[in-house]
Amino acid sequence: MIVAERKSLDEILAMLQGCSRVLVVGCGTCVTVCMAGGEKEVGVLASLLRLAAQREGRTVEIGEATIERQCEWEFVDELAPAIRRYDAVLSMGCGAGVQTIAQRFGGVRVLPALNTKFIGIPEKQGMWVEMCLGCGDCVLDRTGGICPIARCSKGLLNGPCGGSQGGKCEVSKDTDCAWQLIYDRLASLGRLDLLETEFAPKDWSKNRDGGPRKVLREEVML
Amino acid sequence: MLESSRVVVVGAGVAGMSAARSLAAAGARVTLVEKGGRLGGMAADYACKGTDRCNKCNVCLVHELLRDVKSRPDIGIMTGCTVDGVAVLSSGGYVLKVGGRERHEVECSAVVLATGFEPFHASERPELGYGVHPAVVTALDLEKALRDGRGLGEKFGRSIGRVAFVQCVGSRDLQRGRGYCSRVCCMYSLRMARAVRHRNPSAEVTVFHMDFQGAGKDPGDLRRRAETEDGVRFVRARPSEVALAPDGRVVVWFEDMDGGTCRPAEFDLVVLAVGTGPGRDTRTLADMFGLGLDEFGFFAPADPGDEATTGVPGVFVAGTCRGPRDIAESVADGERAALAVLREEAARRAGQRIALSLSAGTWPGRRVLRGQPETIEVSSTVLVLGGTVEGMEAARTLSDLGCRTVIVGEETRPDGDSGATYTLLARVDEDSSIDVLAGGCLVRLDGQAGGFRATIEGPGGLVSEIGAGALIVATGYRREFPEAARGLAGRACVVGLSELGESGVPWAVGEEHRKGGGGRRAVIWVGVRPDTARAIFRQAISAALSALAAGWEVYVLCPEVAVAGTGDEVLYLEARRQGAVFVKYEEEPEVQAGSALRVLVRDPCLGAGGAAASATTDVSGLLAIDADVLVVAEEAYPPPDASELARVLRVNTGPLGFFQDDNVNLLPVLTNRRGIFTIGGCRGATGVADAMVDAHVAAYLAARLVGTGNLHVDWATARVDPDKCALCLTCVRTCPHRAADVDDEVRAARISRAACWGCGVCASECPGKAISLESCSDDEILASVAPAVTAFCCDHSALIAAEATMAVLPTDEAAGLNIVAVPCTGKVDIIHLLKAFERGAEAVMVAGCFDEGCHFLSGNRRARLRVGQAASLLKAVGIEPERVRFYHIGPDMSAAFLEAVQETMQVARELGPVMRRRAG
Ligand SMILES: Cc1cc2nc3c(=O)[nH]c(=O)nc-3n(C[C@H](O)[C@H](O)[C@H](O)COP(=O)(O)OP(=O)(O)OC[C@H]3O[C@@H](n4cnc5c(N)ncnc54)[C@H](O)[C@@H]3O)c2cc1C
Ligand code: SF4
Ligand code: SF4
Ligand code: SF4
Ligand code: SF4
Ligand code: SF4
Repeated sequence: MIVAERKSLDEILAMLQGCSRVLVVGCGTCVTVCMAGGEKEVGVLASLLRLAAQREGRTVEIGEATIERQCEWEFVDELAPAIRRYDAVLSMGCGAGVQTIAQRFGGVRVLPALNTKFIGIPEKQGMWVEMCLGCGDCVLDRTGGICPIARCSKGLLNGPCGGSQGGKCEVSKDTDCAWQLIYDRLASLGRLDLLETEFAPKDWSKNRDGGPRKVLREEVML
Repeated sequence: MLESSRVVVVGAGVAGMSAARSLAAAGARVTLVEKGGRLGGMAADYACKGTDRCNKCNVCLVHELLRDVKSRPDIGIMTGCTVDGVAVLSSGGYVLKVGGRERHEVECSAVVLATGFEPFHASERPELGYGVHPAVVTALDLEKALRDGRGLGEKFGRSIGRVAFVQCVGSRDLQRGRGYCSRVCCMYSLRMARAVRHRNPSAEVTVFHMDFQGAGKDPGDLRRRAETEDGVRFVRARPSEVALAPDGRVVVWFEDMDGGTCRPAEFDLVVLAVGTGPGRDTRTLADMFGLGLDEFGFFAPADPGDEATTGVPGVFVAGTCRGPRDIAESVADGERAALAVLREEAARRAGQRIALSLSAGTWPGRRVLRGQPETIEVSSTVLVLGGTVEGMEAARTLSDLGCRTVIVGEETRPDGDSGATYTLLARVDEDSSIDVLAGGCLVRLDGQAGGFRATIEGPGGLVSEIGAGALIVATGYRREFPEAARGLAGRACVVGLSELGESGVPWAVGEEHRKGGGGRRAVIWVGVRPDTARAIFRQAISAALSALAAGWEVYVLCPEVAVAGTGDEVLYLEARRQGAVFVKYEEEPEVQAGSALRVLVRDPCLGAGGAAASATTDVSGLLAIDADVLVVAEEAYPPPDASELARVLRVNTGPLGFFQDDNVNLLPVLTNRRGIFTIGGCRGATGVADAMVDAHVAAYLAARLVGTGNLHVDWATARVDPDKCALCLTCVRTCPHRAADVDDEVRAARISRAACWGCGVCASECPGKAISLESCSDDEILASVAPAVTAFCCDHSALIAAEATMAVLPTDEAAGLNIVAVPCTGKVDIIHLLKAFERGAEAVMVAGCFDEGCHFLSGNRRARLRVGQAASLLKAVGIEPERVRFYHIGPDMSAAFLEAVQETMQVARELGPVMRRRAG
C-alpha cells in the first residue's frame, strides 16, 4: 500500500494562509490503513485548525469529509455538492488523491496535507517500511523476493557494496543490508547460483523515461 | 434450578461478596447478612498501594466487588445483623434467625459462612510498645493513614525519616497459640514500604523479618524492586522489644544474626505487621452449625480436596474464616463456595445436571455499561488442554455441571504419582461426558468465546477440528534443577525432590551410596523462587519428616523457610523438633562431589562455630556437611512449548513465561481472553491444593459462561461499521482481549459480543472511525464535555475516587470541574482531548489506573500515549502542552484526586485563557 505521513502543522498553516473556509478530505483506503489520512486523522487535523484559529482569534469554518478512495472519479464526485463553499480543500489522500480532486474540480484550490512516502508495509503496528519503488521492471524472481532497488540504500543490482557490516547497511545501523538479506534467503532456498549471473545495467526506460507512465488494457476498457 | 432457592451468605467481606455475586449470577436468590454497618469487611479500609505502577495489592478488587454487589437487585443486603440461631427444616433447608435492630427469620437451602478474620491485637505483645509509644503503629493504622492521603508525617504527628516494619506480630508464635504464618503480612509490608517511600522519598525503610513469604503475582519482582528502587533493607531478626528513646523516637531491640547479641536501632516510626486470627464469631457459629475447627480456631474443611465444604449439608465456608489468605484468594474462595453450593444442590436432585442460568454482566471483577440484550447460542463443550490432575479435575467438575469436555493431551503428572491421580483417572475414564484425545496438540484456534474452533493435530499428523465454547489450559509445568544446582543433575547420590514422591520416600536412594557405618545424612536443598516456594517447601518438609522417621540426619538448605501454607508452620516446627537442621543461606551452597559428597554452606544465623549437629565440620565459618544423599528441590518452569501455545491462543503470559498475566485485575485463573482459563502448573501454581482450587474455579466459570448453551449478553460492546472498515487490522492488534478478528465474508473487522469486554480501546484507535462502543459513542462522550477543567475518569479507578471527592469539593471549585466518565482511559480518543479544548476547556486531565494495573490490561498505557500526542499537537498550534495531563488515581484515592484537580486548575489559572480573544 501507499504510505504517507502528515506534513507539519506549520507547513499546513502556512499553506492555508488567508483561507477561512477549508474542507479537510480524508481517503478511506491506503492512508486510513497507514493512519495518516483516514476519518480519524481528518477529525484531528480539523480540530487543530480550529484551535489554531481560535487561539489567534480568527473565525474559520472547517469542514470534514472522508471518501472511500480519492483516486476514483465516482468517489470524488461525492464532494461536488459542498466543495465550492470552501476557499480551499485540504486533501489527506496521497499525491494521486490530491490531483484527482484538483482535476475533477477546476477552480478549486486543492492542497496536500500529507507527504506521500512510499509503497510499503507496516513492519509492525506503528512502523512502516518501504518495499517497492515501482521501477516498472520487477527483478524479485532473481533476488529471492527481496527488492534491491527499494531496499538497498544505493539501489545496487550487483551488491553488496563494501559498506555492508555485520548484516547492516553503512547508511544506518538500523537498516538491514538488502544484499545480505538476499544472500541469506537465496542460501536458504539453495539458489546461490542465481548470484552467479550478473545483472545487466537496469533499463530505466521502463521507469521515468518518457514521462508519466500509463498502463493501458484495451480488453477491460469500455 | 436455583431459581426458588435462597442462599444466605454470612459476612460481607471480599469472600462473602464474591460468593454472593457468583451465586446470584447462577440464578440463586441471595441474602447477604453483615454484622457491621457497611459492606466490604476489613479490606474496605485499605489503601491502594500503587506508586507509579500498580504494586498488585488487589485492594481495588474490593471496590469493584462493592459496586457489583450493591448494584444487583437479586442480592438482598442486611447490615447490622448476625445469625444467632438456626433450625433445620425437614426438607433439608434451614431457617436462620437473623438478629440486629430488627429480628427476621430467613428460610434458605444453603448457608455460606464468610465471617472473616480478626487481626492480632498488638497490645497482647506489650514489649512492642503499641498503645504506649505513639511512634508504634500497626499495619492497619498505616493502611488507614495511606488511605487518607496527605503526608504520613502529618498524620502520625512526627517525621518519618526512618521507618521499621516488624513482621510476624501475632503470627508464627506458638506461645500464643498462633503457630501459623498469616500469609499476607510479608507482601502487604513490602507494598506499604513502597507506598511509604513513594510519598516520602527520603524515608529509609527497614523490614525485620524471619522469612519472606512470597504470594500473589511475581512476588520476587516486587521484592527486587523494593530493594533496588526503594532501598528497603531486610534484616533477618525478630525484635524482642521496642523502647522509647529520650528524643521521642523509638528503639527497636533485635538479636544480631552473628553472635546472638542484642542490638538497638532507632526509628521514627515502627509498624507492627499484625497477623490474622480466627474471626470473633467463628466458635459460636461452629457450635451453632455443628462445624469442626482446626487447632487454631479456623473452620476446618471436612474434605481436604474440597475446602469449601464443611461436612454439614448445606453449610459452606469461604475466605479467611477458614485460614489466612489474601484478597485474590478470598475472591476465588467465594467463587468456589458458590460452586460447592451448586454441586450439592445437583447431588441432592441426583441424576439431574445443574441447570445454570447465567445472567449477564456478572463477569468477575468487571463493571459494565449496558448494551443491547442479545442471547447468543454457544457451544457448551469445554476443551481442556493437558491431561494433568488439575485438567482432569476440571473436566470432572464440568461434567457435574452438565458440560461435555474434551481433554486433549498426554496424561502428565509432574509431582510423582499419588493415589488420588489414579482415582481421578478412573473417574475420567468412566465418565461418558468426558472424551480424551490422547497425544493431541492444539495447532490453531479460530473463533471466540462461545464458539471456538480448535484445530488439533493428533498422533500421526491426523488433524481434527473441535468446536468448544470455552477452553481450559492445564498443560502443567516442567521441573528442573534450579540454576545454581543445574550441574548436579544426574550425579550419583543426587536426586530430585520430585523423584522421592509425595509420600513413602524411597530413602534407599541414599542407601546404596552409603559409606559404611555411622548415621545416614541427607541434605535437602530448596533454592526456588518465592512464587513457587510455598508448594515446593511443603514437599521438602514432608520428605525431611519421612527421612527423620527412617532414622536419617537431615539438613535443609534454603534462602527462606516458606511456611505460608495451611499447617506448614506446624510441620516445619515438627521437623525441627525432630532434629532437622534448617540453614537459611544467603550465598548459594557449594557442592563438592568427589568420591564423597560434601556440601558447603554459610549459615549467617549461626556464624562461626555455631554448627549444631555433630556431623558438620567447621571450615572458616562454613558448614561442611558430608552427606550420603543430596536432594535437590526442582524449580518449576513453564513447559517448553508454552510460548508457542500462548501465541496460538493469543493469551498473555507473565514475566516468567507462565500462563499468568501479571495484571492484578485478572483473577488467577482468568486470561486476557474471555472463555480461556488457565489453571495449575501452567500458570505457576505448583501445589496440588492450589491447582485443585484453580480447577474448580475455572470449571465453574466456564460452565457459567457456556454451560446452558446460551450466552446472554447485555453488556455494552464495541461494534464495527463494515462500510467504514479499511481492514487495517489495528483493532485486531490492539484489542487487549483479542475480541476482534476478520470476517472473511464481509471483508471487514468483526468484534465478538461474547468476547468483548467493552473497554473501547479499539474505538479510539481505529483510524477509520469505524468502531463505536455502545452507550459510550463519541457523540455521547462529547455531549458531556463542558467549558471547564475537564477530567476524563476511568470508571474503575478515578471515577470512584472522583465521586467521593465531588461530595466534599467546595461549590466554586466543583463548578469549574467537568467530569466525563469513560469505561477505561483507553476509550479517550485523541479527538476527545482536542475537542474538549475546542469546546472551551482550559485544561484537560485523564485519570486512570496505575501502570500495569489497568482493568483492561493496556488501556491506560494507550491513554498515556494519547495524552502525550495531544500535548505535542497542541503545542504545534501554540497551546501550552501542560494543559493536558495524565494522573494515576486508585479507586480509594479521593485525596490524590483532589490534589490532581487542584493542580490542573492551578495550571489553567497560571496559563490564563486558551483563547486570547475569546477571553477579552
Ligand atoms: C493489616 C493487613 C493488611 C492487609 N493488606 C492486604 C493487601 O494489601 N492485599 C491483600 O490481598 N490482602 C491483604 N490483607 C488480607 C485481607 O485483609 C484479607 O484477605 C481479606 O480481608 C479477607 O476477606 P474476608 O472476606 O475473608 O474477611 P473479612 O474482610 O474479615 O470480612 C468478614 C466480614 O464478615 C463480617 N462478619 C463477621 N462475623 C459475622 C457474623 N457473625 N455475622 C455477620 N457478619 C459477620 C465482618 O463484619 C466482615 O465484614 C491484609 C490483612 C491485614 C491484617
Ligand atoms: S488516493 Fe492514494 S491513498 Fe487514497 S486510495 Fe488512492 S492511492 Fe490510496
Ligand atoms: S523491482 Fe521494482 S517493481 Fe519490483 S518490487 Fe522492486 S521496486 Fe517494485
Ligand atoms: S491499582 Fe489496585 S492492585 Fe494496584 S496498587 Fe492500587 S489497589 Fe493495589
Ligand atoms: S481498526 Fe477500524 S479500520 Fe482498522 S480493521 Fe479495525 S474496524 Fe477496520
Ligand atoms: S478493544 Fe475493548 S471494546 Fe474493543 S473489542 Fe477489544 S475488548 Fe471490546
